[in-house]
Amino acid sequence: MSASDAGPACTRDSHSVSAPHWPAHGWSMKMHAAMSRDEILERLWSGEVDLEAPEVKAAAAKDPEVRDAVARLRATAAHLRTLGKERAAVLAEAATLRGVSGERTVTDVARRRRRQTRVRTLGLWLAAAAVLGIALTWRTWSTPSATGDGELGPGARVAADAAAPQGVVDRYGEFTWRFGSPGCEYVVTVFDGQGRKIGDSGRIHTQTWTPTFDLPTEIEWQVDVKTPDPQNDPEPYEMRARLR
Amino acid sequence: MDLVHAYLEGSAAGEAAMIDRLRVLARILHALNRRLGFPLDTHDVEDLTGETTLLVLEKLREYEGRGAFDGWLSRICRYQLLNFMRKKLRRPQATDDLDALPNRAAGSDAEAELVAQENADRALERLGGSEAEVLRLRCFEGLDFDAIAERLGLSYVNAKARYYRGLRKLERLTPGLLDESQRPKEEQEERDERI
Repeated sequence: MSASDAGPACTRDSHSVSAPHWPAHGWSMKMHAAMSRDEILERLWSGEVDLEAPEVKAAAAKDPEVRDAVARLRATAAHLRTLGKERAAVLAEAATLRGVSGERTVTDVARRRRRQTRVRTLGLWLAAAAVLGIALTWRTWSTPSATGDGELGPGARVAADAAAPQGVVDRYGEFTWRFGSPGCEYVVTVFDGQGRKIGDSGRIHTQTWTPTFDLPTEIEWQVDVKTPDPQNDPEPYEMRARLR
Repeated sequence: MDLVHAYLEGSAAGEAAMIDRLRVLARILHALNRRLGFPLDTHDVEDLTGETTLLVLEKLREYEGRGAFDGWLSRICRYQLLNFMRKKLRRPQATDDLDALPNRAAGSDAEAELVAQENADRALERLGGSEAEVLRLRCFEGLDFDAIAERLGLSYVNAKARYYRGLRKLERLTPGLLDESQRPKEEQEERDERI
């Protein structure tokens, strides 16, 4: 590009322009070139034009900065495309290969890893099941027991306080008690303050009972536990209670 | 992507299909080794194939399905091969510092090519987003802007804009990408080729 093509505005060396002409003439041309450059680059970045568009070529021919920007874009794109071609060539070559020894290795390694994954997964499930089982067992046997025999199944003795009333009847008319063994039945009997029976629940399976009859202010109550083996039924446990 | 999902779900058919598909790893590694002038012997390639298979299976969940599956496998193969060669030849290890890339001397043309490929992948990772996706699809998979726009759900103009913006950002972000010493020789011939 000749000096006349470029013009004073296209060179950034102000010493090449005589000082008396630079402020007026040079400034206006420089602004024009800058706007043109920004505009053309903006159109490029926005996808309105591509590198082969005439206006881009024209701008590149006139403006070294546009030319430089375009050249760098071309170089980057060319570099990536070269790498892309190389990748495609490798894949194309790989597609033509058959019976490569490593294929067997791939199969063996993948299957072995799959087996290991399955074993690991199974191990995790078993460990989780074991933890759950231990937790449930602990919860079952950790029910307080005065005698500590803990045998609550059929034919076993039940600790006397296993069916102990919970003490103060918090809610009017509602009786609750503890017991840790499924399959048992209970009979709650309520007495007045003089020990006279007021009524009972009959055989129930739940550990809470609300009588259907009125209760005096002061009562005693007891829970009879009925195990599958009547011989092992514990003694009834009584507790004096005062209704609130 | 369906293949990957089927495998990850644990179906027997998915497992068989995936294993069959992954056989290409051995072929890619073999092809790379051959193109690089057999820097690894048969035993090394077998070892590398096993390691690469394990790595791919571990990373399967990371595959997003945007690019071709073979391209994704190919990148892992190149990465593995480069590291294997460095370990074997006691070359300096790869750095994640992209700014340091221009100063890293390549040990050979073969390694230089692998380094250039890896640098490009890292640069695109650093660029990220849809601009990197457009560049990958355009330059590595050879798709035109229509196809890219359809693949990524963009307009044609938008795909083109992201391409040029991506190029500009890439060039600014990673000047080392264009370092002469890290380019394959063929690229010099193409440098003036029109885009």
